[in-house]
Amino acid sequence: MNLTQKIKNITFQNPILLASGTYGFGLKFFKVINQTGGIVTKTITFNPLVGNPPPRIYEIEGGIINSVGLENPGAVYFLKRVLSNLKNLTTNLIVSIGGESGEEIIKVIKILDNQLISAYELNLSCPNIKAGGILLGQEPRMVEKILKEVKNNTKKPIIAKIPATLCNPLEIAKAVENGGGDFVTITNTIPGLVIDVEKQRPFLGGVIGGISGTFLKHYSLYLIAKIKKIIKIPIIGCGGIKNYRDVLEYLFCGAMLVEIGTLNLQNPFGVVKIIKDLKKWAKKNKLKDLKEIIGKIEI
Amino acid sequence: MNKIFLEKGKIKQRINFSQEIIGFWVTAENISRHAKIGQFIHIKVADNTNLILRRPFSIADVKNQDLFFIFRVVGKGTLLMSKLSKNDELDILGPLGKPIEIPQEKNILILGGGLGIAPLYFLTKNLKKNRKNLFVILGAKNSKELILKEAFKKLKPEKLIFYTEDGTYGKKGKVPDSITLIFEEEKIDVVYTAGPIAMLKKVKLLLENKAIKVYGFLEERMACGVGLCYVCAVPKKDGGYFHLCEEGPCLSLKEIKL
Repeated sequence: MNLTQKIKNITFQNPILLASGTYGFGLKFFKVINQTGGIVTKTITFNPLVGNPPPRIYEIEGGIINSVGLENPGAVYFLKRVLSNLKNLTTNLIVSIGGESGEEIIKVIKILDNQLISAYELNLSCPNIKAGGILLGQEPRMVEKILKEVKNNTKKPIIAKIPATLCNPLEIAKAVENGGGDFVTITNTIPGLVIDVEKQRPFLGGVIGGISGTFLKHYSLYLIAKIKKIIKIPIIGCGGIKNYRDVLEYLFCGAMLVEIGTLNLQNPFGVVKIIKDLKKWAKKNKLKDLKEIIGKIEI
Repeated sequence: MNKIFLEKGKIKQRINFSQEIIGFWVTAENISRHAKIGQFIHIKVADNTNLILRRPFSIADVKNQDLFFIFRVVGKGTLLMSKLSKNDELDILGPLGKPIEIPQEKNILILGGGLGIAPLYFLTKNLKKNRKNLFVILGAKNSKELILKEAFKKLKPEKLIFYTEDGTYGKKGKVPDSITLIFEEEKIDVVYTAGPIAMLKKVKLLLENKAIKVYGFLEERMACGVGLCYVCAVPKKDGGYFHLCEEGPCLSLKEIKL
């Protein structure tokens, strides 16, 4: 059974991508990465970021809340020291890019534009300092403007990973499409707090964290089913996938691809089993093409 | 990158040091045969979405296809583990972390407090094999919590001093109480320490200005354990962070901020 799809000129050998922040920069576990449809790197910013003070994680019921703070070595280091070591990748390399403005994202793209990269994923959950700290992806006009600017500066496909809260995700997804975005990833982690009652202060060193895991899946599925009706660009589903059945739920709701994140933190080999199980399911159900099930369920 | 295995380990023997401190000898062939000093294992406690993260434990000893680790019941994960017994299985990822290289220097001081004694045993045993002069000071709250006393005695270090806070075994007091004296009596080239954070701070402070190498086993909240997520950050002295699962858990105390 073949799970291959060609979308926007990119061939994905299966619909499973490794979500940003949970699989490093692609330098480790080559064998696992090469079995997936692609890896989305940790977010790269123009300047290196040291990240937030520890503790950076807390386990919650049905998920985790993390506050790594986009720690990364910056665009130049990534180009010189990371990209040059990724020649053995046989699957798609998708570079996640963050910044506090569209200009900063473009600066990163101009440094990186390299044939090893299949696409860029814009992390629109970064705060826009000049606009008072609201997230880049929180306001539809800003999203459309950023997408247009970025598209004018690269020929590579652009994926926009949108925030799911403190905005209307439906409007944001539409703005991604209007701005010329090629894919939209739904959704990023949602913001959250943990309070250390003994110390009477926030538990996480970075104070605010991003919640991910099982419980997020159901909100994400709902958003995808809704957004599917109003946009034509392909959707990448993300949130709480832990087995092949979760992947199928996303595909049924209209996602063409999925990103797996939290599971990687528990088991770096976990995606391999999901891909195997997905193939088994497809064979058992005599599926010829993933298109037969993508978006089959409408709400 | 060192080889990493995901293995179902079978509990071969359970040792109850106290009601809260438990040791497991586990048969996990691949991990045990590749385990090096200074490394740890990462255990998935249950198939339960409320316990998503693995729990890291230092390797305390290895014999052929078996490995030994000791833990204290501190939360919901370790509480579940404390209910396991012989022949139960554990989902283990490992061996993880940066192995310690046997130092060139001859005279080694080992300072262990509480559960910190566990990784130091595996280290001390290997240092002994490499014919180092070993000066060992170990301490805990009470005699029961002072783990691996007999095992350390069998290693026959040049010096072995025990402390308990309540005086139920060895001298009454804490490990750092002996540091000044031991430096007066012995020539020390390298120090390895593991224990509660307050003890590491004290050791760091006492030895900061000595021209010797001082290493400590650190702890921090961890997620992937394999260098992918950057969660287990330990502040460097001059800014930025070490990633404990990849660059540690044993780090130079002089290069970090505690």
